[in-house]
Amino acid sequence: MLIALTLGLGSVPIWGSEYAMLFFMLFCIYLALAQMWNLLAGYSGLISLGQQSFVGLGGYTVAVLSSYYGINIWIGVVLGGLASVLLALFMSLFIFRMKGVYFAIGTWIFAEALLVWFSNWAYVKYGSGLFIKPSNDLSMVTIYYAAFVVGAGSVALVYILLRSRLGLGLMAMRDDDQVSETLGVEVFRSKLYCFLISAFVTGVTAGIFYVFQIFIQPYKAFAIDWTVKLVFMVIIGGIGTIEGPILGALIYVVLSQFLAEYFSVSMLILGGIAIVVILIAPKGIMGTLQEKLGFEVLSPRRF
Amino acid sequence: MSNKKDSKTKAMNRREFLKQSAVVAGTAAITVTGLPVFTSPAWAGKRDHILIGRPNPSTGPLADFGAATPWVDDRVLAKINADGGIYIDKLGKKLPVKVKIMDTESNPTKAAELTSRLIMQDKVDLMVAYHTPDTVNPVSSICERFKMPCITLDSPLEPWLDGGPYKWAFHAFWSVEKDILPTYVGMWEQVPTNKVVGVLMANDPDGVAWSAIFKNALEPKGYKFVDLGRFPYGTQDFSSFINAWKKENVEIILGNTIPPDFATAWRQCRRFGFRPKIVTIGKAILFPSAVGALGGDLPNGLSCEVWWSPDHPFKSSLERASAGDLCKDWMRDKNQEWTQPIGYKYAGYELANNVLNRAKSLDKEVLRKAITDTDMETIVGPINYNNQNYCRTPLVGGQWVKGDKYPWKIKIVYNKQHPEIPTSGSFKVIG
Amino acid sequence: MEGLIQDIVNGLLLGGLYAIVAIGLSTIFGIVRLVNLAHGDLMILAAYLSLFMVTSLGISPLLTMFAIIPVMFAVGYVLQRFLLNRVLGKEMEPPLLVAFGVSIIVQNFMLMAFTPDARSLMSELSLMTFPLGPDLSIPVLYLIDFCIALAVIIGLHYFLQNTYMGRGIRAASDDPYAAKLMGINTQNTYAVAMGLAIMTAGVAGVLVGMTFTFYPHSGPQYLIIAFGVVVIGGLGSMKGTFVGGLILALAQILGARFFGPGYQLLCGYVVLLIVLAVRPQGILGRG
Repeated sequence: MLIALTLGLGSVPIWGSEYAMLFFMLFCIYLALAQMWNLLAGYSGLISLGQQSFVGLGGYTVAVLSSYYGINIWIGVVLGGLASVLLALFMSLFIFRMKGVYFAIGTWIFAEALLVWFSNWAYVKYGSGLFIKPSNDLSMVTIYYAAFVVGAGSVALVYILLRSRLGLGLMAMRDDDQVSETLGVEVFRSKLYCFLISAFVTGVTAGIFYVFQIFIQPYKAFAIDWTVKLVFMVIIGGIGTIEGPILGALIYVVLSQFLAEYFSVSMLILGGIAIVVILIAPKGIMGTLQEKLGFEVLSPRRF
Repeated sequence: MSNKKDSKTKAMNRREFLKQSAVVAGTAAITVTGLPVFTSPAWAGKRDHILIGRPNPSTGPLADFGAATPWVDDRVLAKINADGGIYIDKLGKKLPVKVKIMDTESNPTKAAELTSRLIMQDKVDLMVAYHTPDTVNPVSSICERFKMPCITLDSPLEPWLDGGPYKWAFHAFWSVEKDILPTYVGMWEQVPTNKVVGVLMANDPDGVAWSAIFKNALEPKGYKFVDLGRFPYGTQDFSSFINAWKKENVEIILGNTIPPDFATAWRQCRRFGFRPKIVTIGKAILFPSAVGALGGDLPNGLSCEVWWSPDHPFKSSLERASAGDLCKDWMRDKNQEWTQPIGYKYAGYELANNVLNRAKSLDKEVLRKAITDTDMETIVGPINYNNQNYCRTPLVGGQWVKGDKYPWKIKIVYNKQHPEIPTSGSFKVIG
Repeated sequence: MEGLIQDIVNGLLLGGLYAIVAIGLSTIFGIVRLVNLAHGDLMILAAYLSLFMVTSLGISPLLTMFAIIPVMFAVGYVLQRFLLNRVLGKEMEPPLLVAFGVSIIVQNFMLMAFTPDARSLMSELSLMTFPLGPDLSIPVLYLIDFCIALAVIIGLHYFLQNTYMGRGIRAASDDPYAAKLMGINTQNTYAVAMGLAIMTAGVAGVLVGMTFTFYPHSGPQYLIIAFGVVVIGGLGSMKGTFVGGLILALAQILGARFFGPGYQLLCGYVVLLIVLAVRPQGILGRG
């Protein structure tokens, strides 16, 4: 059935209108971003409020490379991912010394610092932003498929990751940090790897998003808004499950498209639902379903 | 024992079944409800009207620009639709024109998103947008990418050209280098100064373009610029600027900011006792409401560009009304002072009307060609696009003084570039 | 170094304002172990409420404080009692995320109710200066901010040290179980603590609204300032909060002076990150 869904998503350009492609493209992009946030918060115990650092860096890499140097847009996207990994490595020097809520706020401060830095940087035209000018004409179909690869790929990546040795270690960590450390699970390394991986995927996804958006500006690219959306998607969908972000991303895109003209209302509703979910069903929709009914579509468990 | 196991497996199987069917049902439900939205295209041929997309900054720091919407839009549309609308060849009949106005919240990223939606979901026939690079630039780029004919006005030329070259987007407004520069300098040279200029420019497209152009042109002419760099929107503390200006004996302040930031800066100047002779600011003090909000006598003597006023000698192509008439009606209907964007909002629709009437079609390529052939007189002046898709409109210089009916009014004090627009006062230093 | 004295004076006065912005966050974190991510937004909410009263009643913003104080106390109390108390527990995530949710709801509510236009609580005070010699002038508004901030912080300190409720709050924070045994209603106590914290946020919000322009989305930037002050100055110390405020404000203003006005915020962030990495308990904090 999962195969059916994937096929359905993959074939959207064939049967769907342009608007359908827009809709599902956004879904794939948010799905990838949400999966990565979930990987960090749901499985690695790292609450990141600063994923937008990678969003902005990925987007700007693509913008700079395509506008100034005319490099192929897809190479730019991958380079954006790599740049994000380097940034994550740098960030980790600072924030991996911090625990708990300090870590979360530390990631946020980093993003804000990047925002100020980019908006003052003459090279990227300060706060006025950059245009992404692909050297060859891009059709919506191409962009859609790129998003699809990232979206489906992120789910597959998380699934494979969690079934691997790294994943076993993470799940052990999730259950009990100190016990697993005594059992030889390298807590620090595992967390770092997840952080780097999430940075890469986030950077690449953002690159694709900005190829579509054509226009990037520091105030929105590095804004906390990104984290807000990811948090809500994952919380509502189900933190710590693989299916959770899928559902969460779908709900978000439906809600935001439906209420596109009333953005604030959509955020209000989203916030309200998130609070209700945390109070009543802290594991989110999929998480609660999993708990109560043993309902798992994508189980990283090996038994 | 085996019984228990059996019932357990039965329970499991039931659960499995429930699970599968739930998912299938869910997916089916979503698909069925979503399918029409996703697969049926909505295009003008099936519509009974022509749809113009209008991203507008109705809220946010640029709200003053967007404020005259929808008064102007409704008025012009009424005139266009007065006898049925525009005749379309292929359909052999007249179609009325409708417009979909969407709020960009003064945010360029939101403007880009709205434009994509207008193109892909609402499938508009034509895009018309105005009001500063933060609106016009993203809209033009998106229209260019998706091959949608786009008419824009009311945003300085150079930042727009930065996003080019354009095939589908067309723009009409003045140039910083060729219009603003001579006008500002023309005003400054009416009075004696020490030619020391303090720069107050935001880090947006306007700020970046203006500061470069002014410095390049005026430094060779003996002007000294005290420039501490571009600042971000929402900066709260300008004391470092003011200290530097005091130190260098700055007599002229040259700026380009959004209205709230200028208010913060100008108030702080007064707070710290800094009183320059001349203050000329682009974009931030165009509106009586923004100017009035400064408080006290802070608005007195501020100078800026004037791109449209009741005294501009241009007439509408749609009705028997001059610029002055339009302003009179606005003041009568709204009980507020006139603002400069009114004329430009009006002109955008004049252009749309003219283009649609000549094209007689909703085919995008035909519309595009029709726009390139434009040559008409509008309420903001003559419009005729060159081969880079733009047209310069007239610009004069103005200064704020105490008003009669309203607290503050703007007088045209410099018109050397366009003597056809009369002056109503002479330029003075801030008293 | 002309103007340096002026900058330093400005920085010190502004530090007072930053301290009162932070005191609420610091108090709540110290007592309930909750980072109230909605702190900044509640401040701005108070600013809007004040604006509403100013425009409809025509009174000076300072006078509105008399109404703002009880209203914000009530907001904080209700928020804690009926929402946040339910998610307080071992895990750190749920309260953090609920506060996040509240922050977004408040922000978007303000956006819808008040539009994204820039606002300011104007009064004649905003333009007045107090000249102290040829190179130094003290903006009256900054001075007022500083004095009010000082008064509130000292008042709060006194309350927590010397009143029954205050001691109850501290007891409940040190050991909730023991506190309950002694007859303290922890639910109520936490709610009162939050009420106090949000009340200070309200005062801070009005002051901020008078000193700077604000938008519905201005909240997070003040949250970051509050967090910066708490981290730099140290948790659980009123003196620390004050010192932290001064340091952060000075870092920003001097940073603007030496690196350019656009880097104002960045200098603050860098100082914050360094302190977070090197000495997370802050300069005057108790580990």
